Amino acid sequence: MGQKILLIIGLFALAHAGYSAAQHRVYVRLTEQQFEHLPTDIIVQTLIAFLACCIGTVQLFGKFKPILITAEWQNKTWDTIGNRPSFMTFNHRGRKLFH
Amino acid sequence: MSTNNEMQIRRTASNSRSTISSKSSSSSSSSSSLPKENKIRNTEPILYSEVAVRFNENSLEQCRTSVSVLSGCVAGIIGLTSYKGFIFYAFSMFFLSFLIYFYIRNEHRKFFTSLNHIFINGFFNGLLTYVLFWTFLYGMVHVY
Repeated sequence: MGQKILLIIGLFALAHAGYSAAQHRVYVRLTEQQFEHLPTDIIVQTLIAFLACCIGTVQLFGKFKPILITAEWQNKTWDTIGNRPSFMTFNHRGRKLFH
Repeated sequence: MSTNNEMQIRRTASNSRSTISSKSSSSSSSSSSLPKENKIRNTEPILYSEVAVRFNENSLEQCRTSVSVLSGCVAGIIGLTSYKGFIFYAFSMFFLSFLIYFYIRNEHRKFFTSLNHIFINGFFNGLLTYVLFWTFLYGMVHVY
């Protein structure tokens, strides 16, 4: 849950920074100044939002599984692992007995 | 027992980088002083669960794609042009790799067969996504 909150906050901050940048661009155009570069606070906000989004993304998607097959089999019983469906037979005396 | 298993994993992981589900470690290095039991155990096959390997690669791919989208947005908003944007792409991909490595640094052999999977494989997979979002955001913010 925490990583989702971080991701959402980062996305909102990114959108806000983009909107601020567009506003600044319009302001510069209307006051007929020469555009040099963006204000520092917008750049800093963008980079911090990117950092937050990266951390949130890694925490959200980076849930890896252990690749060793022993780790996968540790919590299973032999009945699950040794199950061979090809060797199942239904054509036996039980059909006559229990039907 | 557990330390021996750890050694085995390390040896196979450094030898090969393929994701075949079963393989045998063929090395028998520096085993003159080890007891006989250890020698036998070193020739046992290491079994990887193919489902888990594929799942991990999928997760890594998801991370790369979403981070390339995000960094494209950032590059467009900041207004990077020409080679600076591609430098920023390389920087963000390395940043993602180091972030993932930072999160699983003690147990990366438990999750990946080699470190190349985190750092090198699929480095340019998100480049087109990045360029798409970079140009889109640059156009939205700076041009129109």
